Amino acid sequence: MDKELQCLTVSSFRKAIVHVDMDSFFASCEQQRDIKLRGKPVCIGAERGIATSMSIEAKNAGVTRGMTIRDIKRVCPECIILPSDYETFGLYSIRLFEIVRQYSDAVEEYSVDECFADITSMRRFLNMTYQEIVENIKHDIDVKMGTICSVGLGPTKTLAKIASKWKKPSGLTIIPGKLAQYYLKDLPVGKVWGIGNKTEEFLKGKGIRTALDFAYKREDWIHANLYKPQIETWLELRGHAVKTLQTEPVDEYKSISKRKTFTPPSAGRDEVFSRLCKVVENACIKARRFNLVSKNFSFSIMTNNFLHFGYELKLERPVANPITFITALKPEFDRIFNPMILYRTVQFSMFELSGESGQLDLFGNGVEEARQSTIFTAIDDINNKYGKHAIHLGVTYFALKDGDHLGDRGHLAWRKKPENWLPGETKRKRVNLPYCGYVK
Amino acid sequence: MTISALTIKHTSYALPFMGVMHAGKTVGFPNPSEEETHDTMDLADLLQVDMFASKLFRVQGDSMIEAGILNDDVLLVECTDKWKIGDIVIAEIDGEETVKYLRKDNQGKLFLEAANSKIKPMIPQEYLKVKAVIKSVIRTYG
Repeated sequence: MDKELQCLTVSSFRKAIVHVDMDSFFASCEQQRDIKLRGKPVCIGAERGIATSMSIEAKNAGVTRGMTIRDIKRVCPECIILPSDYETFGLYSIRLFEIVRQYSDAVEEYSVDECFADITSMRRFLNMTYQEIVENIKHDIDVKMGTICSVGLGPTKTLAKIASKWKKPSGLTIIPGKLAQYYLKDLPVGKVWGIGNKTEEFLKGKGIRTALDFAYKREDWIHANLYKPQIETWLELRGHAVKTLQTEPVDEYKSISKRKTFTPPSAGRDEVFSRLCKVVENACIKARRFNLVSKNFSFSIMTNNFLHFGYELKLERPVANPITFITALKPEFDRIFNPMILYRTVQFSMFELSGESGQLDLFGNGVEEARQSTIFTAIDDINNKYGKHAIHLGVTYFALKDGDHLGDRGHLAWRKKPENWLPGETKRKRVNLPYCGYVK
Repeated sequence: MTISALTIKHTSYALPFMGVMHAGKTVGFPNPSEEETHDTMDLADLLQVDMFASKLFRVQGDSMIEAGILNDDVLLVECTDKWKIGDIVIAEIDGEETVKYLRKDNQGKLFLEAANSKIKPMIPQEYLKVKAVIKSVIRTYG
């Protein structure tokens, strides 16, 4: 029996935060669609060539995230490898958030398959204990979605996240503040949400191995040695909810990043440039949607051997015009592009976004850019009506013509194949409910 | 994600309710001022279905023909564990998924029954799990 550990906090639930984490989310969505996939090893990511999500059966067989198709076939020859169907995954993701919202308005959509909810003070309204609330959330997700999830409850986001990871898959763990020390004593500090590799190394150097070692550290030591994010994590482990829930949808971006991987990899200058231009165009579309402009940007191209080559550049004036960005990055692209190398990924990022378009420079390119900005407003209107890329830059034609993956035709998601459309559905639009195909 | 929850809840399924239609004539023909005062209701409300628990299936074969469910019909189903005996359900039976009537025998054991006198009832050998209840049948013509 462990010796009595010192409490980190005297109250169990000063706040009550739930963390819901879907297990094997994408693979599980596919298993819900087709009974023949249930109970079998299934991987998602055929079009990328790597596993992005694995069913429990595939995980048990040794398949891990990021594994290449060749390796998957080696460790688990019977594994079924499917392309991603982001449309259906998105529908399931909305369901997850809506189900949790039935128990609290304060829901943070943390990622496609994860969310936080603040259920403090919901007990009377729902006439349930905290335990009953989390049990009901889990039950609703299990029944209504069919997919599996792990749920954690704690007095802070960080502890709730530890709770949801405690037992997987399909776990439900409650960590009251008073008992947090028992959950932290054997947990490596690097497993705590918000502790990155560098911090972990630093803490290890100071003799801090477990989350509890970290939580027991004195306040003056913490302030002297660490920065705000880690100090927040320390407070959260001690039961102080300092990380607030981001319950509003994100409508402000500090940066916009677009990245695309294509298969097969290419050594064609025009092809890689076209694909790069397409991500620039996409980033600009997003920036314009939120009325943002930027002058700091970077681009990179990644080789088939996962080496990055790129540049960070600065424009004279912030814009959201792809032509300006493309003109600026073209000479640098030509400098780094090597036709002897195969490339597989292109990336473009805009930083320090602002809502201001800045002072118009009457003698420079300002007038021309103002004119182009009018054109792009019109293009956005047309594309909103007729679909993204209905009007696009000539240079991105190559990328649009072939899709991101040659397999886009061979590796089309089940739902995207015409034989699986419902009456009236088209290549562009399908009904916003999951469709599971024929049943006898 | 570009598909917002609002799309599901309000835009797509909101239909103005224009009064009852009789074959050949309209009762309560809508005029513009009246339309303003009409409340709209969700198709989801009309069908009494929880859209966030719903899925679509398509029927293959005529095993439910006597219940008015034909080959190629689209089924709107709600995933739930609150089913009743006599419901038309989507059930998993011994590794197969099927649409049938949910029945109970004299010993209180669940089994599935087709709405087609040519097809025998399905008695689970290993297991039977009800996944969803059929809420609506959608048939398109033309």
